[in-house]
Amino acid sequence: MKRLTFPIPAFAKHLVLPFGLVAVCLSALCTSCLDDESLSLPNTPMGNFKSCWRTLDEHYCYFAEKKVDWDDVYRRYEPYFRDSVQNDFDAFHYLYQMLGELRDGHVNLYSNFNVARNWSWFEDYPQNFDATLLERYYLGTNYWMAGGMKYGMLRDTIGYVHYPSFSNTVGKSNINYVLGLLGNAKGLIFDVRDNGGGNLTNVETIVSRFTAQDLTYGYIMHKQGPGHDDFSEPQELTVDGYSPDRSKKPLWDAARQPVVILTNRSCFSATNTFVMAMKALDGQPAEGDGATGTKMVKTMGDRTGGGGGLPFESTLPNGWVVRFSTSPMLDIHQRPIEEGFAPDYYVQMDSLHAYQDHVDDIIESARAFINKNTRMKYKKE
Amino acid sequence: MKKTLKNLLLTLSLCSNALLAGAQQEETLSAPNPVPQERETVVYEPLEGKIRCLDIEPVRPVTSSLMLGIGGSTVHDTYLTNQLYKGNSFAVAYERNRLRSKMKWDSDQWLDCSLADTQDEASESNSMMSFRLRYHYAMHRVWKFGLRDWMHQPTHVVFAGPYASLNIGANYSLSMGSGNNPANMHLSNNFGLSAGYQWNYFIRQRPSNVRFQVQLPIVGAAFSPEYAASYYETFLVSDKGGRTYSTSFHNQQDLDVRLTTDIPVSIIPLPRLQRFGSSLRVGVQYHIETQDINHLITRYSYFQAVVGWTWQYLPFRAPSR
Repeated sequence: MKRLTFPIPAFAKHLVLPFGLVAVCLSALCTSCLDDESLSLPNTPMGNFKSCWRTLDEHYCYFAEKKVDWDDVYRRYEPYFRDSVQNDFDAFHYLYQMLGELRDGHVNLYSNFNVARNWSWFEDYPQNFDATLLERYYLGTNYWMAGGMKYGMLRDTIGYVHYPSFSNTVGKSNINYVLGLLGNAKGLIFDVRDNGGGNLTNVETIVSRFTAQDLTYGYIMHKQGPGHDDFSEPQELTVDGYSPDRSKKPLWDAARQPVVILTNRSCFSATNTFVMAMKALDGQPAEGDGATGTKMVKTMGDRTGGGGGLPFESTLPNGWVVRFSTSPMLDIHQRPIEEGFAPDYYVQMDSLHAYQDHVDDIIESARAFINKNTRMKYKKE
Repeated sequence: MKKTLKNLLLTLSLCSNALLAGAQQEETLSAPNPVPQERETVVYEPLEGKIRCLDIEPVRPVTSSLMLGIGGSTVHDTYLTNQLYKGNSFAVAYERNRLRSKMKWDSDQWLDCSLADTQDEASESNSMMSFRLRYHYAMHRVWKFGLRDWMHQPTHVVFAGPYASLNIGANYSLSMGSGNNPANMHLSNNFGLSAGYQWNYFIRQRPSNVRFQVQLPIVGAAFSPEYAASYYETFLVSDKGGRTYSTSFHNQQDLDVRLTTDIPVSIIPLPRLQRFGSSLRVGVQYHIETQDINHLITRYSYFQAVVGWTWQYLPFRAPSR
């Protein structure tokens, strides 16, 4: 057997550079050029406080809107976490107070034993809604249900739909059947009182049935960086129009059959966005060949609770989850909707009237409005 | 007198005819293979420009390997959370290596599917699942040193060349499943340098090797949402909430390192296994991918022990004309 040799060819020197680069990169990556320690804080009271404060400092979108000096908040709460916090309950208490300074219903802190929240946007106002009264004296026992909606026809041929939560998925066929079966009504009462929000896609599914053409109903922005003012340009929020039989008429013709949206202070988040979208329909010209007039979509009841920021979530070192608004939404005039929408007609529900006479004043006001403004005509038998 | 001369001439003519006939017969007997009047020529066309034995390339062996990897993993995705997550990872990989033109190039394909289950490093109370599907294709120039006589196997093989990769995956936070940012998608493709060294040796006269390979992307493209843009806005509202960004060393640091050895199965004293010409592959692999785009830092890395099966075969097929 020949003796093994290892000849080094002349071109081998040209391989030194690429292999050397690889070795340098390998060593650099092994030590990591990312300073993970500065991004990932320890599970200590100060670590949890800094993580919570920094997460909101870099992602929260309403500091200017709420007129909150977040750096000042840090200076006031940092001593508590340095000196006073002894256990998880203390830490939760002070974080609860710190987040409460934002007065935002979309800001929450979820721990294993409690949820920090700010509900003053409806707790400080009358409720203007009675679910028992609604079920016993308006819907009765023969109402139908589809896609999370309860619906039926009131005595005077007025359609009524109660949608308690936008977390209930509304399918396209659901809303088609609901509006189709109520299609002979003089008008429609769409009750979203006590609806705390949910999925924005349900908003678009419902609103699309009221317009045959694409509708721009608002705008949305998002943060492009950690600065308090690093926002993108507003992007249009649009709904694809829907016409069931290609007649260029929407499924529900609000020009002939007025729509009244019932709201109260508990209408929040996606419900607030739904009200914004329906208000964008009001005054639009009637659609369809030979159609005249304008669509009539009014809101009645109390001001909505607001909640115009799309919330994100993040985790703290101790495992708690903090939620916060990060993408502000604007109406069609590019005004913020965080503080909610005032109704077209303020109507307060008289509790005594409701208890004694079993009357929901807001529903009755909506019925009177529809009876006065409907353009539906019925053949005399 | 006249009669006698006539008879004599007649006799002489008869004798001469007889002699001539006999001579012809002798000629006939002495020439068993008469030369044909017209010879048929056969023209053999030269094969130049057509297939010649020297133009047919030798059959190039294919080395395939199926591997399982188990190890630790680190995930950091600031789109979801600032916390670092650490845990376990599991991967299944398939590699196909084939010598190419004139045995001086080889192609190396690598398909890898990995899954990581990680927990918040600080409190271990939140979990994140990560998934990656990666495909690499490299074309190496091969240099061989230290030829052996009886096996014609090179002892040392150095290879280097370009490679392209496609990487698809996602990070999903189990504790934020009901929010608007529970997951972040990862989609990138890269072009870079792949290089390595293989040492061939023998165990009990069975071929074995140790192989070290490094892959370093240089340029590429990756998808990233904008800093706090939701996927609802990115995909349903507009196309301005995220887009594809060019990547290089300034915003991406990726690396793949593999060190494996192929141990011939036939050295194992089991009669059934000795019939197969395959190897047991054992080794380690390290993968890291890091991005810093739109103030979002994404990092996914794992270090795994690898065990697998390697087999070689010769793909016989009719040579192309």
